[in-house]
Amino acid sequence: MTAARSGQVDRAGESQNEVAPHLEDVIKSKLRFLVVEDEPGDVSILRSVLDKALGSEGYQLDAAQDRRAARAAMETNRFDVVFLDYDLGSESGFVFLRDLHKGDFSAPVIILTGKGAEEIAVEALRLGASDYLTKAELDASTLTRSLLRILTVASLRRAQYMAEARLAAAARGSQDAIVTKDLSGNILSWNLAAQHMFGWSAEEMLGKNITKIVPADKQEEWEQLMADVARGYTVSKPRTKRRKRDGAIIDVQLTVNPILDNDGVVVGAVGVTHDIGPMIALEQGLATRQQQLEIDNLLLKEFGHVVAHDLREPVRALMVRLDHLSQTSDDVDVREAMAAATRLRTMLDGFEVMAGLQQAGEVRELDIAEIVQDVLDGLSQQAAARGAEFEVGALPHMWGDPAQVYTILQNLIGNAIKYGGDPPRVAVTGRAAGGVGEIRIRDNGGGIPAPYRERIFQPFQRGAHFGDASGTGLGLFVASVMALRQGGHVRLEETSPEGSTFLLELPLP
Amino acid sequence: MIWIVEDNSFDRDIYEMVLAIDDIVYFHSGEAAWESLQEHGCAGIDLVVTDDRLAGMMGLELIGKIRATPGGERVPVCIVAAPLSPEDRAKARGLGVAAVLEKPYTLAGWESIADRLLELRRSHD
Repeated sequence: MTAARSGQVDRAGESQNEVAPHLEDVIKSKLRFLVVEDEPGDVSILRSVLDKALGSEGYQLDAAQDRRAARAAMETNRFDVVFLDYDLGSESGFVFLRDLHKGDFSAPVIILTGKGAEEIAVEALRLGASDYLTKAELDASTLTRSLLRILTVASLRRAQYMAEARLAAAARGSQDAIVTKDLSGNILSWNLAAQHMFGWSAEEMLGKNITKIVPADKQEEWEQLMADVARGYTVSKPRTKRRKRDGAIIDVQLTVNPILDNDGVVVGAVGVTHDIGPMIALEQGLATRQQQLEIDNLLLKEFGHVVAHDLREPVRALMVRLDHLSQTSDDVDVREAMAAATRLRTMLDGFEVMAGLQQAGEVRELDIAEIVQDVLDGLSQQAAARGAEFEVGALPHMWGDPAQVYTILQNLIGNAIKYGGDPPRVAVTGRAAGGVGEIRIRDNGGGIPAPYRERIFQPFQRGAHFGDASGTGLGLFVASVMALRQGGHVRLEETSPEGSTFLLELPLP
Repeated sequence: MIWIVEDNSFDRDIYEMVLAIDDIVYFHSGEAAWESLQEHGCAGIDLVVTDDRLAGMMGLELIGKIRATPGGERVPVCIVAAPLSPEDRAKARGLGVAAVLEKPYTLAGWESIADRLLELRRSHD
């Protein structure tokens, strides 16, 4: 079929509701006719009538003198209408008409008869002719009326055929079982997916009742569902069950729509069944995995707790003894041992934060300047070793847990000394803005390369480029977690080859 | 008299060093303290200092028993331990614990603990 013809079909389909369609509405391309007639004179008469009805350019007429020539013509061409002389000399046109309908020739046929041949006409219509015209009364308006009717019906049929073919193709290609049934549940159609899903072929199921695939415990649900559909509702069951041929029960999602006739009366239902077995298997897999993860998480937490608590005791004992020793000795080994023990303790603090053990304690208004001074006192040895210089501005009072804020500032200022320039110059400035207190710690180090700017806040992610292996890899992580627990933030505000600025934000009192 | 319930001998040495007083009674376990309490009651106790994580009976359990002993309702009790979980902290508050102090890492820290304990005993007198 050519594109022009399919356009014609659609156009005709649209015009079906018009009150009085015109031939031009139905026909958009040149019509092609075949006349099977052994009298050349009668062919001429038909041609002149067609000229009047359609204009000489509006159609093409092929002529065949006998049945064989007609068949040959129809095998190679498609005709919109075939005019068939009833009396084909030696043979009756009926023989041809009967042949025509045995084969695959679907062109509508108009029988041309002589005068007074009503019985012939009735017989012709019975044999599948679309219309009959009396040669003697053949005129343009009669022919036009007949063509209009025949072509309209033909294009409607074609449109219907196309629609059905499209639906059938959609149903064939669907992964979902699509089954139509009447209101009693008798199956009217059963697509390929239904065959695969349930194990019965269309031949086996057509005319059978749908309840065959409904498990016993779902029969009541099915009856309720069909009652709703019969009242015109679309019903969906996100999760129900169906029975396969081998007796296996499968999980499905089901949607049933009513089928209405032209008067809007529900005459049947079409059900679309989706196999949700794979989805459920996936869900169950996920649930099992989640359970396992929760157990793993608990074990890890417990492990973290044990590590943090049980290691804390010996580390504490070690530190107190070293502290004691350092008060009576200036031995470099004692100092180094103390530094190592302090790192160990910082790591334990990190473990505790990670295990969620160390909650923010009691928060209160803090004099940050005082805490910064404590931190600087605590770091005085490191600072002296590197010749660090400090510049501390006016600092606001803020809201937090004193011990944790101390730890945060100790981390940030300690880093500024450790990673600062030579000598390190560290500026601590503060300001209050919009309910939030801000403390900035600026160093004169070489800046932090882009790939590390986020990683430095992750546990155990200390970059090798920092050169110094004395850190724990937890400092900034611990600081940022602690700040978050107090309603604040720690972040890298700015970094360049001239230095970096870290920002601590905490609520104002 | 200060009762110190501590199963860690190092920490007992530290207490001895920083408190520098004679009337300290040490118990190696919660059970030992509880036994003495049943036998002699609460008379003469100025302060109870206990670790929380003990090998057997836990510190909080022992405090519960002290509170249930006649005369033990008002004995000042202090926990010196690793940081408590928020739940245990709430339990401690419910038992009227005077202070929950974290075990320090430095001698200076221990000295301030000693100051705090002696202050608590004084306030009871």
